Amino acid sequence: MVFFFKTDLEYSMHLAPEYFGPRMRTYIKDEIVKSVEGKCLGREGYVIAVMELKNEDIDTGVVEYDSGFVSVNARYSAILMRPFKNEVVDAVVTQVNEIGFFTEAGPLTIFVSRHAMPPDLQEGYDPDVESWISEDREVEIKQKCVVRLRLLGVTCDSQSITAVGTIKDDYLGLISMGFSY
Amino acid sequence: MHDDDDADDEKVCGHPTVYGGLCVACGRAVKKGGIKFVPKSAAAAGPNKKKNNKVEISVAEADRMASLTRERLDESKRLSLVLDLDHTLVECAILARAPATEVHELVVQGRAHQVRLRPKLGEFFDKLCGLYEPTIYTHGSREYAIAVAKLIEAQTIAKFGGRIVSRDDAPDLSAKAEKRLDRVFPGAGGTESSLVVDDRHDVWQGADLDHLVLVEPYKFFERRGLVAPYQDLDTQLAHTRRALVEIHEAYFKNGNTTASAALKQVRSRVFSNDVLCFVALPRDLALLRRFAVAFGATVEEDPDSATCVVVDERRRDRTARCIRPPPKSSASYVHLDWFWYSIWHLDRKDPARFYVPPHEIIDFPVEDHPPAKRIRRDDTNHQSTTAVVVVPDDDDAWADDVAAEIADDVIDDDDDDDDDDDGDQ
Ligand SMILES: [Mg+2]
Ligand SMILES: [Zn+2]
Repeated sequence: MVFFFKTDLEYSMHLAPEYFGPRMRTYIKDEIVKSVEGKCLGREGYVIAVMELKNEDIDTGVVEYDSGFVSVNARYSAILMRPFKNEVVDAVVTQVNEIGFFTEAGPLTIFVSRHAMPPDLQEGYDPDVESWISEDREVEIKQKCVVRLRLLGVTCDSQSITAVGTIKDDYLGLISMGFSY
Repeated sequence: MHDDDDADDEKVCGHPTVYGGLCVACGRAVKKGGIKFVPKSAAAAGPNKKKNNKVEISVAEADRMASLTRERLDESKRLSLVLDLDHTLVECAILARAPATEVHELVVQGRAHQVRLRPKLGEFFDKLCGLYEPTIYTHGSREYAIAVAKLIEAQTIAKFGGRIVSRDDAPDLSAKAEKRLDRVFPGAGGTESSLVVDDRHDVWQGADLDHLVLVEPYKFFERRGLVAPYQDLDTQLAHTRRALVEIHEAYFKNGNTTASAALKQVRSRVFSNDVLCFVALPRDLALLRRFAVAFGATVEEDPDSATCVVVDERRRDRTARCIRPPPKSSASYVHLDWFWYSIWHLDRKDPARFYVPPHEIIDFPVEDHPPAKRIRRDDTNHQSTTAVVVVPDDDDAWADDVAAEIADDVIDDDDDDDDDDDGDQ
């Protein structure tokens, strides 16, 4: 069960002839960082940050016969975030509605339904203030709050990871009212 | 991911809601074909992410939510009000046109949008917030809908409480330009206490039309370019406001009724004493008849038995021979605008103000002029307004048909002192 991990990855790109020259390697590095950071690599998870990309890890390119483009492979290491079922995560509430609320933990969106709330919160949606309020009015979950949740389920496709969470357990739920901007 | 037997799953968990294919209660991947689900579009899709995961709720959950909503509304003696944005509450221009006052700049998806709020929007919500719970339902993107909702919330007392349905939340919306009330209020009886305010009737089908309070398309930017100086004399929302107060009254007076029945009651008063005869293009005829009947009129083919002969301007030029000699009855000839304004305002307009002088109807025998009443369009005005070119708007094809006619009225209203305003009966 690892939320963040470092791993080695490979990137292949097509480079137009206009980028050939002394700054080519810098350009390739910039391009890799720009295109992978924040992106979901399917089951691998989300790339949080590119860590290492050495010059010697950029292979010698091969000129394509019909286009003049160069096909280049590069190896790099990056920190990835890969959510797993049952993991406990702190997430910021981004949107609240009558069926539950959405949260974000970095690039990951996690939905918490009213069915995954403790019984004293389940019926407590107040549309006027867009909040989930507990019966004793002690707990109020609204936008910008931070909640601690457990991931109930995770699925991925090539573009994104879908996650649903629960706050129906000990030590889960509202942990701070968040920052005011 | 899970190879567990689905039937066994369903015994343990009813999978009340599914988000992006996962059950929100047990976290399992829910396969198609088991429990029946309905899409739940109201503000359900995730926050501003590239990919919006669909939320679906089980039929049982939909019913539970519908009855909960009903309970909450009944308790506060309110109805649901589904509001369209473009050409109904606001008008939005993406290309910067001439600088205008009272235009709000919004940046949506990196593009500058000029949004103009329809006149009397503030008063509209002042009066109706205690009587209705508003929900936005728009063809626009989620980001656009949220930005405009925020603007309206900042400028008026309206509170949408996250009840915003955009094309990103409702797949049917982008594909067929179709709106469905049960997408907003799924579940048994979910739509019973709801009304819709929209400038387009063609996006609504079937029984949903019985919930529709149609408004004149608000096209400030288009018309401003044509007429200078342009005064915004749009009074639609004042009329809609009055009508919605009446409908609300009818609903709660009758104890056990539906919003559509209350609307029907108010609608059918509009033409209740009218026998209408339409002189219109055949393709419009069915539509006009349907509206006429819904608003209480009797429709006759024979102008002699009509009290009002409604003339479609386009018809006059091309197929004049179809227009019959003046009826023997005392029917008055009125412009089609009279009909639409009466519907838009849910209030029968004075036909004299929309009177079509016989000499404007080609082939109309000159010696049979009825005594001249007040003539709304004189010849000079008419000349100048037929030259008006209305910019086509893909988004609103139906509205375009009437837009030219509307443009006429706006000009008339400019030099008309007894402008059709709120106080008008
Ligand atoms: Mg519209
Ligand atoms: Zn389940």
